[in-house]
Amino acid sequence: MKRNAIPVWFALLVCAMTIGCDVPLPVELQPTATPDNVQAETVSFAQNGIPAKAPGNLLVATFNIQVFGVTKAQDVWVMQRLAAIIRTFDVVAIQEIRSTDDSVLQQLVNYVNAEGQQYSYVISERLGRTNSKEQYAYVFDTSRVVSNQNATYTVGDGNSAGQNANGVGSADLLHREPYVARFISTDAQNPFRFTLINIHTDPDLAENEVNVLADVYQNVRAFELSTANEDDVMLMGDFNAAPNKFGRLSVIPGVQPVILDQPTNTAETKLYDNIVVDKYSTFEYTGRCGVLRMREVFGLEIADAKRLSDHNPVWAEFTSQERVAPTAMSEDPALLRR
Amino acid sequence: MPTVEVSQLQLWANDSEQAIANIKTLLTSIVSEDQSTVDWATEALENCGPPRKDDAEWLAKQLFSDTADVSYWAATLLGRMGEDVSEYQTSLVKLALDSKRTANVRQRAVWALGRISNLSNETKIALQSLRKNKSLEQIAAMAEMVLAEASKRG
Repeated sequence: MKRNAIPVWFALLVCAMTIGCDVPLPVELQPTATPDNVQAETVSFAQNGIPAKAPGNLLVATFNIQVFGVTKAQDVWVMQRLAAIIRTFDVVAIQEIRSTDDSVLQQLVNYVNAEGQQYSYVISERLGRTNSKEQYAYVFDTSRVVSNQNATYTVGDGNSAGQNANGVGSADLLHREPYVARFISTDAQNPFRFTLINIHTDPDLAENEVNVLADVYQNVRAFELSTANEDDVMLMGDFNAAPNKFGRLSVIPGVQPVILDQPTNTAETKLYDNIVVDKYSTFEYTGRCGVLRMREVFGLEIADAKRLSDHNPVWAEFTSQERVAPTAMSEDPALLRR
Repeated sequence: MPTVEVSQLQLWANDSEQAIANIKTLLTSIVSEDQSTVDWATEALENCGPPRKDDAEWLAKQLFSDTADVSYWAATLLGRMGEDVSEYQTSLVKLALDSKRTANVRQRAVWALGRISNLSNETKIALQSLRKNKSLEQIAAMAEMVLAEASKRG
């Protein structure tokens, strides 16, 4: 386990790291209504290389649902397919919820739960520098993993909180401050505990913001270690950058993006989305990962696939139980033979 | 400027050529009273890449819009054009120095200046003054970055 020093200048960045910040809660965290005439999509995700949810594993994904708001929420065709995608995974980190209607994510979760599933969600405050603000969320299967709104926080750098109208008191290095949530699997014995950081960089500032994310990652990791004894911290979302453009993030020892060379946009031309794990601490990562190619899974032409999103989801598999670090002895066959 | 349907904006959000061809409509749409229109127009602006050269003059005029988001996006779009908007440095500097503008707009103007490699001495002096203004950390940090990049380029 490694501890990383906090850069002095970064004190300027982290103005607020508050557990359970004042986020407007949805009326009901648990879905109460099932949309009429909704049939779950019967699609085979196995052919896309995605393992089935099973005892012993956890499937974590990130999905930028391009402008998820009332327009998509009113489109049954879109909602059914988004729901089918979410049901494939245990936790989905969502970017680009853009709506002033607080009910849109609840509506999506209602679709997800249409056949008796038990998904719930946590959601961030509205973030951004223009009137078109975005929210992050995590949608998760409560039969497999647990979290709640009080286990979340925003890594503030003053953009939405703590900044006055003239920007005083804020370095504001990120367009949308990362949204962090803690999870624990429902495994009875030695459940896997982990923390996720959800990010959507500004495409015009991606190069700078990815460098800032190196500090965010190290600081959240230090914070989680000191406050929750948690060393399994994953950074995930829409980086608007491929791993070869990860800058300072790529030189943190042990840090590894799971997707290295596959396109993640729906047009399959760019690698923007990823999940970053620390191979020195998160031994629960099984090494299985991939991109859910919506065109292939649903048999869609590109124009129809883009009705869902301009991004494909990216996923990674973890064990549902904590794994201990391999010891030096177990790693050295010569020692074992003595 | 004509109003535009959300369904049209959705198409433009996924078709950069069409978005660029309709950049004026997009910039006008972000002040719509309909939030879906604002959100999809914003998405199209985020995805469209650099505008056409012949839109630069119109965009430069939009820098001084009364609406903060229009100024913000005008600066962003001009910034994406890089060298092609070198002649609008003075306008961008004026916006960056304007204390009546929001910090987000001023920061974007500074960012746009950073995309121009042949910064004038007047621009560099303005950026240095912004960098030293510790009461405006958001803008000072961006000015610092821009000047550092300019210094690397020599």
